[in-house]
Parts: sequence; C-alpha cells; structure tokens
Amino acid sequence: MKGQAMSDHLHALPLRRRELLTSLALAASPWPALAARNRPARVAWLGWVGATGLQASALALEAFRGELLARGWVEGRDLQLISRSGDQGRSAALAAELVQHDPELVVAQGPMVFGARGVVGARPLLFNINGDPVEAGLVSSLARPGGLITGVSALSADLAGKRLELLKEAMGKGTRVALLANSRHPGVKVEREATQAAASRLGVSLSWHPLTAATDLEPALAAIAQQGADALLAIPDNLINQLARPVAEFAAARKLPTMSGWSEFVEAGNLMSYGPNYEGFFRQLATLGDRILRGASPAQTAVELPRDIELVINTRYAAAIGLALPQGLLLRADRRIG
Amino acid sequence: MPTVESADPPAATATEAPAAWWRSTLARRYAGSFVAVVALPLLAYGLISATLTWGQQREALAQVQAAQADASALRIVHFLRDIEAQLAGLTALPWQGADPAQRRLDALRVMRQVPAISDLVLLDGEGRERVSESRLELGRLDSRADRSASPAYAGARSQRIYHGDVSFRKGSEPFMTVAVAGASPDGGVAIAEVSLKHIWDVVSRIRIGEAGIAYVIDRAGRLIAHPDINLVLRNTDLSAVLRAFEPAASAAAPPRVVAMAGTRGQPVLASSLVVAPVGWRVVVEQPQQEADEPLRAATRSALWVATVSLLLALSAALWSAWRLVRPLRALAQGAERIGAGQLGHRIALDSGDELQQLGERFNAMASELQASYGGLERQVQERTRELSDANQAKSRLLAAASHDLRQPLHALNLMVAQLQLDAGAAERERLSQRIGQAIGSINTLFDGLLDVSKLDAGVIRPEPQAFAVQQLLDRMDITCSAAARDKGLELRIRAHPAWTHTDPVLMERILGNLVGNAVRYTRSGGLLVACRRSAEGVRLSVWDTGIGIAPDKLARIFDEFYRVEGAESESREGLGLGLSIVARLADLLGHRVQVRSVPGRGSCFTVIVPEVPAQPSRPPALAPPAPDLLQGRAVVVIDNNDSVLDSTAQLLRAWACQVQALHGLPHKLSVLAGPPDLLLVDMHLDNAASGVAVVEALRAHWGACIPALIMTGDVTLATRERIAAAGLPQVEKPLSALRLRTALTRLLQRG
Repeated sequence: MKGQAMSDHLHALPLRRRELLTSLALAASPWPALAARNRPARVAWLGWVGATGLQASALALEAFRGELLARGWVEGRDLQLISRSGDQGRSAALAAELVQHDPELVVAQGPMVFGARGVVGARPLLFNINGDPVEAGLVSSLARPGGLITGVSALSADLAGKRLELLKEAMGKGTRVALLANSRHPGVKVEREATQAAASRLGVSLSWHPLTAATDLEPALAAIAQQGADALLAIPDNLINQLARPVAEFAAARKLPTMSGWSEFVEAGNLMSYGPNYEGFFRQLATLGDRILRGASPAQTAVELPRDIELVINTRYAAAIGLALPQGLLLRADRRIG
Repeated sequence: MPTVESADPPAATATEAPAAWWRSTLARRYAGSFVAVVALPLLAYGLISATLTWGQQREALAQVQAAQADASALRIVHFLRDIEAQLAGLTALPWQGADPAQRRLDALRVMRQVPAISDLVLLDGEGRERVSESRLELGRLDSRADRSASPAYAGARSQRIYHGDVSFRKGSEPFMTVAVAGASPDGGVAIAEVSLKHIWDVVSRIRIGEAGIAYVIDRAGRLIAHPDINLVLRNTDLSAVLRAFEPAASAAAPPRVVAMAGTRGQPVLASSLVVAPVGWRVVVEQPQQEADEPLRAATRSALWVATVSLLLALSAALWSAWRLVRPLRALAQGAERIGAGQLGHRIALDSGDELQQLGERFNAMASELQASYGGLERQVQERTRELSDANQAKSRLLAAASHDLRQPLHALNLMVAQLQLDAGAAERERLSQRIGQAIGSINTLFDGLLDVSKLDAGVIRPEPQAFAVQQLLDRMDITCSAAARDKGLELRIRAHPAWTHTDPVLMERILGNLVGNAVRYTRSGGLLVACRRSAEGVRLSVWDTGIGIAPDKLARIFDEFYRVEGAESESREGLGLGLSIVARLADLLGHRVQVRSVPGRGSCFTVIVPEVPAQPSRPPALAPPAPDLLQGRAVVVIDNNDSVLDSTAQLLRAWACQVQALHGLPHKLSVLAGPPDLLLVDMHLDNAASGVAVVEALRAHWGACIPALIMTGDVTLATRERIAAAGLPQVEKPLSALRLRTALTRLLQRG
C-alpha cells in the first residue's frame, strides 16, 4: 500500500447515497432528525504511546486523518476528531473520557483496544494491532468479525520467521541473534515463539532481552554486549520504534545488523525492517473507518491484513558497518534508505 | 282593490347572483373538452414514447456494458498473462547443470517485478523442487522435494499454463495458483501463488458511467476482485449473480442486461462476460437510477410538457369561456332589464363578433319598444286630453243648457200663471201662441243637444241618394223665408239644375242651420243662397250681409257654444250649437265646409257636395207631407209618468185615435181590448221594466207584430242600441206634437 487514495467514483457514490439518505430522511421525518444528521461525525482516537512520548501515535493519527480527508471527510465540516493518548494501563480511563463526547467511532491504537473494548459499549471500535486479532479474542474470524470490533492487523507473527531469515542472510556466517522486545506488547509471546521456531529451522540461537520501559534498554543492551551477538532482531512495536536510535547506535558500534518490523526502525538508523508500510497501514485503517462512518456494520467489515510487505534497507548503515549485503537481499529490497 | 297576481316567471332564478364566470357551465364544458383534447394525445404519446425509449435504452445499455465488460476482462487477462510471461521466463532455461542460487536470484527478481506473487516455486523437469521463495514463509533452496504429483505441476505439464482454483488464506485472502511449464520439459515448471488482492488495481480503475463498477467472480461464485476490497475479504458469495447469468447465451445472442440487487446494496443493471482462461466472470454493474436516468429525464420533460400544455389548455378554455360567458351574461341581464320595463337600458358589448351584433339587435328592439311605448303614451295622453276636453265641453254644455233652459221655462211659468188668472179669449189666444213659442224654443234647445249627442255617438247614419240640388233650395225657401221676412231681411234663393249624391235630410239640416245663423247675425240687408259648379263639386253657399266674423275667430266658430260677440241679445237663440252641428254633419257626410267673412260687411258659408249626372226620372227624395193615417186608430200608450201619459193620450184623442193609456204592463193582459193598431211605449217603466220587453210581451199576447214606437228620454248609446236591436223605431223626449204625429204616421205607412 503506497498511501494511494481509493478511486474517486467509489467514494463519490457512497456520498451520493448519504445525500440520498439525507434527503429521504428530510422528506420522511421532521426537524429533530435533520438536526441530528447535520452533526459532523465524531471519531475518537485512543492513541498508544508506549511508555513515554507521543511521536509514533501522532504519526499514525496523521496518516489516519489524511486518508479520511482524501475520502471526503473534511474536519470541522464532516468530521470531528477527539484524541487521547496514553499507555496501556490508562486505556480504559481514557476510553471512558472519550466516550463522554459521544463519538460515532472509536479507534484504538495497538494494545489500547483491550482497555477500550469494555468501555465503548455499542460504539464501533477499530483496532490496529500487530498480532492475530482472532487469537487476541477481538474478532471471531478475519472475514466476519461478528461483533462491534474490527480493524487492521500487521500479522507480525507471520513475518517473524521471515524477518529472522532475512537477518540471517544479512549476518552471513553469524548464528547468534539477540531478540529484543517490549514484554508488555500483547502479541509478544506469540511472536517470540514464532521467531524461536524459525530460529531452530535456520540454525540460529536466540537470546531473549525483554523490555518493560525505555529505561530497560540500557541494561538490555549491556546484556547483549556481554553475551555477544551477531545480529539484533527487535520485535516490532511502538516502544521499539521509539528506542530505535539508541539501538542503532549500539549496533553500529558493534557492527551488528539489525532488523525489526517498521520502517521507522530503519529511518532511525538501523539496517533493515520487514513489515507493512506504517503510513499505508494506518491509511488502510482509515478506509475501514470510512466504511463504518458511512454506515457499514463492524460485524460485516472484514479485518484487513496489509497487502504489501516491504523490505526496507538502510544501505548507509550497511556501508558504515562494512557489511556487504548479498544480492538476494538487495534484490528483495522494496525501499532503500541512505 | 283587486289583487294583482303576477305569474312567477321561470327566469326568476336568473335574478339571483350568477356563479362566477369561471364556474359557469360553459367554462366547465370548455375546460373538460380542452383538457381531454390536450391530455389524451399527450398521455398516449408519453406512454408510447416511454415504452419505446425504455426498450431502446435497455438495449443501448446492454451494448455499452458488454463493451465495458469486455474491456475489463481484457485487463484481467492482461494481468494474468503478465504473470504467466514472467513465470515462463523462469522456465526458459533448462535445469540441467543450472545453478540453483542463480535461479533463486532470478526468482527473486520476478517476485520484485510482480508484487502479486506471494510464493514462487521452481520445479525442474522431473518435478523436483529446486527453488522456493516466499514473502512470508522461509525459503528453501534446492530441496529436490518431489512435487510432481501436485496438480499445478501436472496441469502445467499438460497444458503449459495451469490456473488453480481460488483459495482464501486465513479464510479471507484470495490466492490462486498459476503454474507455467517451459517450452521444453527441461525448463521445468514455475509455480506461483498469486495474491488476487492485486487485481484490485485493475478492477478499481474501471469506470462505468458515473457510478458503475466492474468486479470478478470465480467459478464457484465467490467474489475475488471488487473496487471495495473489503467485500472480497468478507468472502462475499455471489453465486446468485452467477446463476442470474448462467443460462448463458451463446456468443451470437445479443448482449442482455439483468436487473438485480447490486453489490453495494442498490438495484443495478448488470452484464457479464466470462474471462476465458480462468473461467471467472467479469460483472459490470450500474446503478439502476443512473442507467434509467435518460428515461427518467425524458419522462420528466414529458410530464413538464404535459403539465404546461394542460395549463395552457385550461387557460385557453377559461379564456374562451370568459369571452363567451361575459357577453352572454350581459345579454341575459340586459334582456331581463328591458323585459322588466327599463326600456332605456342598452346592452353594451364590444366583443366585435356575432354576440355584439346580437346585443345591437337587442338594443334596436329596446329602442323600438321604447318608441312605441312613447307613441302609445302620447296617444294615451292625447286621448286623455281629448276626453277631458270632451268632458269639459259636456259640462259647459250642461251649464249653458241649464242656463238657456231657464228663460223659456220662466216665460212659461209667467204665461201659465197669467192663464190661470182668468184671461179673456183673446188673451188666451195670445198666451197660447206665446206658450207655443216658448215650448218651441225649449224644443229647439233640446233638439240641438240631442243632435250633438247623436252625432257624437255616431248614431246618425247618413242615407246618401242622388237628388236635385233644387229640392234643397226649395225646402230652404219654404222653411226659412218666414224667419227672414220677420226680421226684415231679404232672402234670395237662386235655382240651380245640378244633381248631387248625399243625404238630403242631413243636408237640409246643414243648410237650415247655416241660413238660420245667417239670419241671426244679419241686422240688415239680405241673404243669398246660391250654387256654383266647381272642380271639387257643387258649392252650396249662403251669403249674408251680417256682422261678419273676425279672421282670428274663424276657426273657433265651429266650436260648441261659440257665439260671435256683437250678436244682438234677442237673437241669441240656440246655444251656438248650430255651426258645430253643421261641422259634425258635414264631417259625417264627408263634405267640406268653408267660411269667408269680412267683419262689418258679411260672411259666406259654403258646403261642397259631389256632383252627379242628372237623373230626371227619379222621384223626389223628400217625401211629401203624409196623409192623415191616424184617424180612427186604436193606440195603446204606456208611460209611467202621469203628466206625459195624460197629455199624450189627450193629444192622440185630439187626433181622433182610440187610446188605451196605461202606467205599465198590466198583470192580466186580457184586460186590454183587442189588438191595437199602434203601440206607443216609454222605454224606462216602473220596476225596471223595459219598453222593449213590454212591446214584445204585447205582441206575443196578441200574436201579431203590431207597429210599435218607443219613446225615451234616455239618449245613451246603450239604450238606443237596445231599442235598435229589437228592431223598434224610437223617438226622443221631448218631442213636438208634429214630430210625434210624423213618426206615428210613418210607422203606419210602413205597416
């Protein structure tokens, strides 16, 4: 997904249908209905900031807003966006706060969906998570969520093995991989297992370095340095994205290839990322939001997985650590940075 | 006071305020017929054209959609062919002695070229796996696993290109296996898993009209590509759509359009086409609203035209009705007014057509009515005036009569008193003469009155005959010479041989009056009665050397009672009726009377009578004096007035008649002696008995038509006619003895 807007005629038609419905409503019912219909759609955004900082959440929100605008939702006229951001622990409280504004749709980033779920009541809830929503209990199936919750998933666990494989290709002869992860991330367990399975098949050993907060990074990196590793794989999530720079600096110092899931990781200075395009991911979320705001029921809106997975390689980093990337890897790179 | 009952006119309802013109019957009829004339053809046209347009439009739509489906199918095929070509490239080289690592890079290159390929497997000529790469799975290199049994390999080997069925990973993501075998078996087979989400690019760009879309269904009816990708991920089952198109027309049949519920929940019109290599169906759908828009627009415009035409028709109808109803109402009201008596009312119409002409006719009729009423009114006024004049004249007559009557009556009173005072024989002789004269003047007076009233009533009927004028002249001589001599005037009468045709008796009266007047108004000198022939007839003139008449009074002398001033008091006999009688008689006979006069010198009165050739053998017109037939006759006299009865009986006895005098009809008619020779009966008897009835009763009693004479003082026309109707002669009281004798004699003469 390259942030491409949906075809014009597609969103023009539903708008016309909205207008038709509006005119029918106007024709069929008296004033109160008119007043209700003319209110701009209210969307509540529950952002996840991980331990600290708003940056990643803000980027996601921007992508989301931009796509809605491209689909005809002008803020102020058609759309009113209310956002709160916090960490997972406050998700329920923040969701309750958002619900007081009577939104038509609640969008929860990452693990915030779990806290929001019980609070939003009968309002549609959109999630965007890395893991499997069926396993997380949010939906009954990808094709038919069956409830009021739907969203997009980055199928991170599915990519776990591939990430390791690509990292191994970059490592060359090394066999030790340090696995860094936000232990608070809901899907972390599944992903770790997948990575471990792949590691066995690839003949790679993994060392596990969980983080609970940004402050945990220092000791984790120290542990990695002490234990020794040939590469570093970070299970993708917001926390990792925020800590990407220090990780990159650490890895660069030790000439370690690094791999995660989001291109932000690479943009912050690391070697590679393999996963969906971040912006595209949230644009895809916005298309679902658009559908729901136009009247589709969340139960009838399939969970979408990213269509394209991109491999992003930071060639400057590679050059900096004196890494000669194999042809196979370069051939697969969808984007090169630096 | 008689009640005036007016018949209730049937048009009474018209006097109520009429309905407004637009609700008049005419307006309604016009509106109805105009609207029908306009509406029916328009409706018919609208229906026919709508039906035709609908059919045509559907056909056109089918054509367009077929073309678009074709184009979409082409794109999909292109997409697939692209992939197949890439895969074919990977099987171009033989696997004998090939470097798998190199081939792996080739495969990676292809995967980079074709984002749709999710997994790529290269099998060699024996079906062993040499390269396996995936975007999700871990890759394998040269595993040599035997995949020859896979349907993809088998399919590719047999048909070179193999398309697997569409499967849905995770129950949501559509994938399809495409396998391509190389030109030579050595090249092996390349098998790719294609993510059909990538067909979205192809399908979403297809534009059908404004809101039409294209989508793809696989052989099982599952939606595999749609501009709304979420529908695909939902495993939307469109086997119903498949069934709608399944009774597949042959290629030669015209494309058809099917109405169905669309994939986005609105009714659509759809066409479909099978994408041959894979057996998928491309469906092109357009919202029915959009597809029907031209038809709807045509219908709308037709409705507009119909509405406007109907309004125009209605306006035209109402306008026509207004043009007619207004003048018609004006006509009706005008006729009503004129009929009600407002003859001065005129109907004002200016429509410039037949209605205006009708209005003008009405006005002409009203004018004529007005004129005739005016004429009638004038006539009525004139008559009234004449009547009132006559009334006044009558009153004057009565006044004058009563005045003139008193003189002789007074004289009579005195003379009778004298007689009673034992007068001597000579005195009695003188007195009886004087009494006779007084009575004579009273008689004359009454004669005059009677004549005027008779003439006015039209009772006198002239009996014209031819006779010699000389007869009249002789009579004049006889009757008037004495009066002229008495007054010391000379009366000369010139003889003339002319004959005339007129009533001799009435002419005698005329001349007699003229001569009488001449005598009265001439103090000295003489009179001349002469004739002269002229172009107009015989002019009988009476000249006198009297006081004359002033020119300004000439017209008035014929008026009743007019007396020229200056006439001597003792010769003021008569009422001045003489000339008016002359005028009436002349008028009755149809003769002109002329007068010329010079005051102080004399006057000349002329009557013009028609001249006829002489008829010498005719007997004289005027009858000689009658012989005495009365002697010895038996007469019955009936009168309810004692003095009249007594004096009449005495007179008759003096004439040697045998008289039976009765007051009225006796109860027993047998007391009367024998049938008499004459009956002399008064008209108005006691007990409202009528003389006519008495005569008839007596006649019936004796069974003979006895000559009867009715005497009456009643000069009304009704009485006169009653008597005349009974066929009885009548005389009016008072009458002189001579007159009575003459009448009775004549009666006996007639027998």
